[in-house]
Amino acid sequence: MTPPAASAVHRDPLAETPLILGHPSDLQVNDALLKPILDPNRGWKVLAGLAAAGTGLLVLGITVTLARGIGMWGNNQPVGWGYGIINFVWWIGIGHAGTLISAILLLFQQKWRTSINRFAEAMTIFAVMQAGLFPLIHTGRPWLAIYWLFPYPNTMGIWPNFKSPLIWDVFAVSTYFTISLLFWFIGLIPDLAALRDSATSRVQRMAYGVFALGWRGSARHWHHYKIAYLILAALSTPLVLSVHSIVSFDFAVSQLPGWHTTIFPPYFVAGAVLSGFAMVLTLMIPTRKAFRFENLVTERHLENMAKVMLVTSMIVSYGYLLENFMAWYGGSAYEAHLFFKTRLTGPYAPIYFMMIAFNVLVPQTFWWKRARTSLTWLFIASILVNVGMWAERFVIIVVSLHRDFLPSSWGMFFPTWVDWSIYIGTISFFSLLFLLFLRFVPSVAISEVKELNHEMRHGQAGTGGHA
Amino acid sequence: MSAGRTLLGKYPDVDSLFGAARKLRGDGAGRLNFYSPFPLEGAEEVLGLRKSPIPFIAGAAGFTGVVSAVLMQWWMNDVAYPINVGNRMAVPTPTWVPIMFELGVLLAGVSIFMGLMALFRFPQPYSPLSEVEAFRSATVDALWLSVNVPAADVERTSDELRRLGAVDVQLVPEVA
Amino acid sequence: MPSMKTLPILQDHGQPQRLSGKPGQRSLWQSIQELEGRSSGRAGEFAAGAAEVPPELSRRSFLQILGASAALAGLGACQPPREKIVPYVKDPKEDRPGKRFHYATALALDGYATGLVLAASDGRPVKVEGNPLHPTNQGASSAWDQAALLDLYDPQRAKGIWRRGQPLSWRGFLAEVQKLARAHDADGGAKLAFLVAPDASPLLAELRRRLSTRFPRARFLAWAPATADHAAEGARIAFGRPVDMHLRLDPARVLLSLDADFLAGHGESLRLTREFARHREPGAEMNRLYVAEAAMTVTGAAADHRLRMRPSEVAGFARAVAAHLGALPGAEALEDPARDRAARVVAADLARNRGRSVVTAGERQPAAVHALAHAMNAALGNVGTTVVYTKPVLGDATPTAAALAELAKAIQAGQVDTLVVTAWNPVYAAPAGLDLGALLAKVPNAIYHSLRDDETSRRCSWRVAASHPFESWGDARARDGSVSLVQPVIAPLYESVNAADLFAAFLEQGDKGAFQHLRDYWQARSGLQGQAFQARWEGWLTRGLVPGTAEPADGPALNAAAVAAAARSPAPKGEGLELALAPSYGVFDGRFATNAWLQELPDPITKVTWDNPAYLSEATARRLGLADGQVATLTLQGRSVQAPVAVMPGHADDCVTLALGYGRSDGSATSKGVGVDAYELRTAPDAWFAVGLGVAPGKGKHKFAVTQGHLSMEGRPLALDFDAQEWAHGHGGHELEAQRGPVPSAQPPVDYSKEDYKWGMSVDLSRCTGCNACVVACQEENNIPVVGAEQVAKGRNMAWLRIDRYFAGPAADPQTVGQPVMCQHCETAPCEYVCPVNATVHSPEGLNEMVYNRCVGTRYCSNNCPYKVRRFNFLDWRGEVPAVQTMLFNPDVTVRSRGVMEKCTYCVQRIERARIDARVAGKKIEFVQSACQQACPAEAIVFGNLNDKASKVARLQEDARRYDLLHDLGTRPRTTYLARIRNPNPDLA
Repeated sequence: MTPPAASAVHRDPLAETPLILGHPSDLQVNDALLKPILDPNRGWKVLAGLAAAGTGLLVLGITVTLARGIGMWGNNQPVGWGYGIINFVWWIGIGHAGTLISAILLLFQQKWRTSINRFAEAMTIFAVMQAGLFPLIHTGRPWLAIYWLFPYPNTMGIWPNFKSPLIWDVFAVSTYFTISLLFWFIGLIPDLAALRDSATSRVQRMAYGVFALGWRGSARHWHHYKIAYLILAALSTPLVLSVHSIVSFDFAVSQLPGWHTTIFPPYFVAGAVLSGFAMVLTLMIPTRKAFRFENLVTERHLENMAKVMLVTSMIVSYGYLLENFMAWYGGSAYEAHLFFKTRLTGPYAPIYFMMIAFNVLVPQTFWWKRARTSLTWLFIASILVNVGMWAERFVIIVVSLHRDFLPSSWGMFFPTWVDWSIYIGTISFFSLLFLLFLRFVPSVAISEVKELNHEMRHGQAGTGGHA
Repeated sequence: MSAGRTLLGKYPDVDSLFGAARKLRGDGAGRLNFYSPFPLEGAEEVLGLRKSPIPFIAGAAGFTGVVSAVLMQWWMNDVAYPINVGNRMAVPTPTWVPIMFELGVLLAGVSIFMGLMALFRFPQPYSPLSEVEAFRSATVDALWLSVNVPAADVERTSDELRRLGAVDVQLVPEVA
Repeated sequence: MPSMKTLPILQDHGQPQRLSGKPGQRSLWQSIQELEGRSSGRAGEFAAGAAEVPPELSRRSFLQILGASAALAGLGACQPPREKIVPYVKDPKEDRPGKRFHYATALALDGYATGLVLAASDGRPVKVEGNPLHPTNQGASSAWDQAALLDLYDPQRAKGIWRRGQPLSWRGFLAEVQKLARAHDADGGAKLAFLVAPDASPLLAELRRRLSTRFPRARFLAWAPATADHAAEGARIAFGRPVDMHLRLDPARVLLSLDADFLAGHGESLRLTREFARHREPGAEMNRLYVAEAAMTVTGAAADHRLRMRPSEVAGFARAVAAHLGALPGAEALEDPARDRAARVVAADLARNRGRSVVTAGERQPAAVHALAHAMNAALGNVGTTVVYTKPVLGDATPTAAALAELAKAIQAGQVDTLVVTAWNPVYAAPAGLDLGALLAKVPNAIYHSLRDDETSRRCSWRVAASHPFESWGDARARDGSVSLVQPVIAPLYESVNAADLFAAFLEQGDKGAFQHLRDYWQARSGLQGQAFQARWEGWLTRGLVPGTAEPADGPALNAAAVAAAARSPAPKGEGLELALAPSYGVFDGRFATNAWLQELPDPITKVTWDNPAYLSEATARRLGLADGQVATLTLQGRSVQAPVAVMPGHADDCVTLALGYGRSDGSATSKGVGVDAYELRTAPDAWFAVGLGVAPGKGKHKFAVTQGHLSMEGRPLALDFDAQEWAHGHGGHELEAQRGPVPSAQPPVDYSKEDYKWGMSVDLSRCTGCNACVVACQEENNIPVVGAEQVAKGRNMAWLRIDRYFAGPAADPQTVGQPVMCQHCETAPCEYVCPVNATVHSPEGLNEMVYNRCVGTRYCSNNCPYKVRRFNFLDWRGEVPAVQTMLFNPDVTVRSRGVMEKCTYCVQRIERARIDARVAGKKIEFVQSACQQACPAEAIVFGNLNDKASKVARLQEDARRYDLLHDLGTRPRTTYLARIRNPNPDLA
């Protein structure tokens, strides 16, 4: 049985919406959250099929790239980096919401995170997996790049160049992926156990039993577990900030107009969070509808995310503003030319204005509660913002490169079908992983919800999360 | 599980659970433990658990990470194979920072997980507890108390558990 | 082995060895630079007896060299006999794997030779250099000379001898020819005709003399698509007899070029470029160049005043100038007042520089203009100082299109049974309307001797594969007449015959062999015997030059009346636009269309590769409603071609310029269907320009493969130039101060002063004409791949050295400045610190080194390079390399694979070779040249050791004109530039 729908509950308009509607028992919460796994609905197969087909494009694109070389992409002189790095930065950015929601909101004791953090963490991991693909294939010869970038002793006695931001990337991204995965998995253990114990079929019991590692909710385990989770959160918070700062160094450390910008780290992080939350919304809105999570992932959750997007969008806008100010104030003719001529009037100007419209203007609507609470608009806006963030990376990378210092070497960049198939392929692969996640893993942190539920029932001032 | 048998008592709410635990501890009963779907505030103090070593493990590992990052970068680029790379500083300390941080976090994070696994003696998919069907509710919605008793005291203690408000009492079967 | 020292082999020991008095060392080139030292400024002068070789040379050791050049002769069963091979009894100690030998030889284009030195490694030529001893090129070489090496190793060259599809052995061929010859004896060869390329080879001339004694009535016709017919005709008008006009630009202060592109493509352009460039530095010595032309040429881009006019208007302008100079009676004012004023000013300037000025007419201008030029030079008293006349050097004084017409008529009349064609591809390049293809098919025995199978070979009943000049014995004359011996550096790679053998076959001496013919001829000519001749002969081979063979100057008398009469001939009138044809800077008249290096060589002005757009001015394009790249139908006298148009800044209005040599219907994949065939519109009378062109905008857009799309410098201080006047007043000086000198930095600069060597380069924009010689030289030296039009259009051109070209001023009539850009070898290289794997790092001597086998291909270095000189192997550009083409690779340079970044290395392999040789000799490197520097005819590129304060490059980096490209980035480049100085005439401002 499912708990009563939100509409059925009468509540005082002044009091803030409770995070869990109705007063479900733990058992009800448990059943409601595990239902998608224990008896799935039809639509899933269709979506999974589509996603799998799209993933085929990724395989094709990568195969062609490795067989023939980067020449199959649109990259050239002077545009040495194209879709490969754009998509890398884009996905990494998306991968920021999860850990941020989990960790930072946990530290700030934002109870509303509990219903969405698992979801967001999963998204983070899958997004980082997509991102990780690109640095590998964009050399065209990953069999070298994969290991030459790591400091291992070799017969040449040569080592990586630790002055290069790309090496920092290697460490930052792999660390980020590892930590996010651990954070996610540790959080998942109690729920896997719940799944194991709620499952009826032997196979499921076995399977989830293996992943639950033997968790039985022992207080002696909770004792270590809570502190461990808290410390991981404390580690992840600066990690999230560091990762995109380091990604931004790939650009900021170079001397190319449009890249050589000190504002980049904060502005990249803000952009990452913006796109991350947008992606969470894009995924959450349909999911909560499909799985009837409305009473756990309430409008208040969505509204809070909209607010976060508004804030980060303002930070990003400030970044844009400051970039242009510095271009003017710095007095470098090359930089001024890029910002005030190439970007505004160059061949890629439409993409620049698209970026402004989607990243700066669209989130401004979230000043109004109606916009924040309209599911349709939230959904559309979240997609627009991610398109905008992709455009931002295009502007930074391609537009800066295609017209730099010597006009003699100016050129255009045109993506090829391989570029597109790899990009679409990663989106599909991401969706596929996500659908698998929804199908086989509890997509909401059940134990946390139960705890929150418990606290609400006993009206004790809980700390939220496991702390 | 040490010698003897393990009794499980299911309690309707935290108060009765804690009450029962305090009583049993006062009577100097065997090793007590709670099982619950979510962490219970104050369980540590009721069971009298010592501080967790996890923070220390994390701290030590993190420090190791930072130090090894410094040594690695300094040795590899400035001692083992020094090269003039674009006339940049011989010992470019600022460029070390990112990797110092990342390596610190990485080692700390990994060691926390490993630490947990060690403390929990995980992975441990099987446990005699899982022989008790009713006990499955421990991860779903029920609060259980476990106590180790000598084989002789099984009857007495189970009555005791009921008296202290257990709605259900289970004896964990012995497994050969 | 003392005898080895006297091999006619140029041994490059990499350090200079002054010519000692010891005879044993005279005949061998210790190194190129030794000759540099000897030849600079004193071109063609020889120490007395320098040509002699000491007598102790043994015959055996001489045959060893022949052995080296004929090593594969054993295989050549179907080839003319090679000299007997004498195997090494004992390997000469010089012959070590990887050891470079240098052989002097020569390469002729339309009859005029350039003296070359071929560097051979392991028995195969791998690099073409100019012969420093040679008067006409003085060590420089052109893009065409450089690219000849690619032709040598072209797997698609013609092979073997074929008659009506049946292969013939050499002996079989000789037998057949013998039959033919005897058949023609009957009527003295009345039905025998030879269509030969314009040529000055004494040996071929001799063979032809003997042929015409045997066949008194045989026809000898010389023809080539782009020859100096008009010049010869003009000389005939002015002097009543053909003479060659030679310019001496060293003393010249004012130059007027009437549509003459004398700095490129001209028989003497290498020498002229050197002499011209020598006087482009500010000061009293500086010359001033006026150019009247339609399409912008290399010469036009170098001009101080470029007078934009249609080709047909040049005659009028010339008349006006001549009139003002009093060289022509009756001054006539030009209708265009600006041009009239220009004519006065130019005339005045010329007049002010009597005896120190030059007027030269372009080969594409009608005879009258040439005659006028002669008259003006005479009036200016330039003859003897800046202008020298000699007897014509070419065997046939007037190789002319008329010859073709005559031949066609003869074939029509069935008067030709046997036709020997050694001229290049007449079927393709013959004037339109003259359907030579069909006619050749009529000739019973049309024997076509060519390097490649092409449009003509398909129409001829016999096909005889020609040996490449680098495979043949022979001789050739430079434009000044000096004779070079052509010696083979490698045995023919394919069954092939050289021209001398072919002619000899008709004398029934085919089995004697070109070498014997050559040697006999020169022995006879020298009048020496035995050892004495042998020594002289080897001296010639060693230096690649026969001393004292330059034509002496002669002073023809000017017939002013005839000139005046000729000058009165009216300019062609007609409706519509004007069509101007021009040889291409890449494929010339089309004979290089199969050469991928030259196809991918950017046009010096428009930077278009793999194409010949129909160029017109912006105004004309607008008037005709044509957009850049739009395909248009060009119609002239009923014939029409479809050609994509391109706007060329500075092009004359109402005129369309189309380059010859493209749109081949046959030949290799490299040439087939590339560009449009301009010969379709070319008629015998209007060989170079014609009025009455119709241009109809057509459908379809064409994407040109351009290496530099952007024309303007965007007001950035990149390729700097100043007017001589403002420079003299110190303006520009402070502007340059901002572009050089130390830049504040947190990073303490590495100190290179302790090193033995601190390599650096200096590029003089004032000297550079943008002739592209350096670009091909670099490509050849460094194994740089060709990527094809599609990839060039995608922006993946691989050239390590590119010549940026910017336009300034009004688009209709802009100023041009070129700037060779290669890796600047920044001391604080931005590319290096961003490479994650240390694949590009600094050497102790300050080279920015690229470690190919470490590169993983992140391309970050390229993104961070402000000069964008790095090139990435986006694909496997080469694929499977045919065995024969692997011989082309320079063994000292890695062949890069896919996914690897590459760039200019300052020819590090040359530095290292010099270092090894220096160590062996126990001294420091005193001389090393980069490939681009060695090829440069303008001496614009200077490379060397900055720590050697005496070195030229060190001095140039102290020059007042020195500046750093993108100096304010603080990259501290090792390559520095010298600002270009223009010398405009204040009266024409």
